[in-house]
Amino acid sequence: MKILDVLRKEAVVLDLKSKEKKGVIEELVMPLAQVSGVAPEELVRVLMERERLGSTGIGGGIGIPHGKLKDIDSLIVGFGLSRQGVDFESIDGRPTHIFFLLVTPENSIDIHLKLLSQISRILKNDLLKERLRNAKSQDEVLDIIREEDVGL
Amino acid sequence: MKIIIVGAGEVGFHIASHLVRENKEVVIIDHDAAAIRRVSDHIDVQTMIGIGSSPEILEEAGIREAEIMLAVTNSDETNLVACMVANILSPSTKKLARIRSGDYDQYHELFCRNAPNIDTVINPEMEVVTTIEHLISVPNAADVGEFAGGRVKFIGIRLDDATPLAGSRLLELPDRIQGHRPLIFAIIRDETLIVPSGKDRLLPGDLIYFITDDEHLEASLRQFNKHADPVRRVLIIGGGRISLRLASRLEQKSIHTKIIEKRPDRCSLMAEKLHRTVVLCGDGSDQALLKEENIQDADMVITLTDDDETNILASLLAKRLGAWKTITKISKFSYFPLMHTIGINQVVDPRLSAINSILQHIRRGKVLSSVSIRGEDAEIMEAVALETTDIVGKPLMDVPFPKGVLVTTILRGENVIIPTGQSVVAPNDRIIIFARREAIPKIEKILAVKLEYF
Repeated sequence: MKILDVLRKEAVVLDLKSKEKKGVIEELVMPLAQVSGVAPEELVRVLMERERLGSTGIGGGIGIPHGKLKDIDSLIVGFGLSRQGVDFESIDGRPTHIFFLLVTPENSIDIHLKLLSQISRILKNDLLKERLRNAKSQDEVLDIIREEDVGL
Repeated sequence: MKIIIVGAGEVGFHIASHLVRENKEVVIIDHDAAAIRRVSDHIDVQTMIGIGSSPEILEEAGIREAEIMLAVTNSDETNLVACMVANILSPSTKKLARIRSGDYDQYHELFCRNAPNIDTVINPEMEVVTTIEHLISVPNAADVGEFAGGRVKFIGIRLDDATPLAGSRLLELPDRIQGHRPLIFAIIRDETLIVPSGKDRLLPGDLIYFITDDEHLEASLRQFNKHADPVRRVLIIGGGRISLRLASRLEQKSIHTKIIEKRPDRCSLMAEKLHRTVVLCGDGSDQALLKEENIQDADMVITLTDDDETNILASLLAKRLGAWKTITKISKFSYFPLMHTIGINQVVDPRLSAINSILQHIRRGKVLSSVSIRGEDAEIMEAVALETTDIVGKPLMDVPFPKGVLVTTILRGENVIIPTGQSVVAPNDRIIIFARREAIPKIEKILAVKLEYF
């Protein structure tokens, strides 16, 4: 599975406004709620619940908020950029700029872990990270991801 | 984490100062300019003057970005409305509300399931009653708390000169105690908290804290020359809401209870609502009345008026007249350090109870409950050790704990394990950790799951 199989253009938010964890998650969720038909507060709830157990701000300016939901048939994937950076309680204590968001059906732990590792692998590439941070359009974001999106 | 606190009274103030020390972003709202001034004079938080239930004020405070809202004004209704407004403006903000009136007791759950969808209702009065019940169950202890639904208790006791173990170093205890040995996790000596190592000695006058499973409680108390004599007769001074709650609980336990209350109308109300409790109309600090009511026969005198000073004096008087034990309700934190000096050992505080139950919800990781001891110098918390956290899968001695932290208990299914350095915590074990305040942010990190946690 490739990231681009599941990440839709509408789900890319180029300019996150909030500086706080919850605000950013709300912004990221908005387009996803429309596409998936899941109530936005439901998505925010599962994501925030997961954050409470431990932040998904993995350092290096990256946050991968994720969670599981019972009543969905397919993956919900989002992407967002914050120019100014967000206090995401990341492990290195530094602001977070690049967000991948992932909500999977409850019984698909396997796909979930594969996607997580795929995302973290891509984001290990510093040059690519830099280009993502400066991307100007939704298409540009998708193009950059495509270069590394070899699938699993 | 952004947290909005509605109400800058004693609870709001202390929660705010607690959270600021943990580097949380706090906005505190109150309509009383003086209360807000007190906050901004003492702690570095954002303050706002205004009605905390107003949508405009909550918007301005940034409710949409707030992870948690605490509604802790002294008005139940303001707290409820604040939650309702927050629920409309920002449904995914967690809402904790302090609700005290007994009229709402039966409806807490409804408020959680329906609008305003409060996540947790905190009733400090109910919690104080629970604390008093714990203290009554171990009348010789200065502090009693429960974890794991009562299976594990922590006890604070004052060592007297007659304690056979006085003078021993902790590492000598295995030789001096036969059978079950309670785990001592803290010593308070001259108002200073010591997290003891094997070399520390137990001295007369120390307030020591130990943890034990329920089964070994009595044996543990005996080691320290204390006994769990049952309380049969209780005298309550003050007839407020807490007394009413407490008295009806005591009735269920068949403890003989008398209440002394000044206000005649309050007396008739209490007499109406209670069955076996004797309600006396009079002044609880009146020596003659106390003597007439045979105070020397009371196993425990509990002072619960709305006035701290009255409670302190009434407790002292009761002791002087021969009451065996006293419990004193106090609300001013600044009085705590004085209490032992003037001879008052058992103190309860509804506000501290409220703070305890709020803190548990703010902690990262899966913290089930948390209790502050000695004001706020340290905390004991019960948490679930989740998969992928740093605490599981390796011997405790290899877990990078900061100083001033002790894993006191591992609960695995029905088993209660007192761990050693070699013990390994398994995923989904419950653990009870004691930590100095400074160590808590690091403990939260150790209890936090890693990215791959699903």
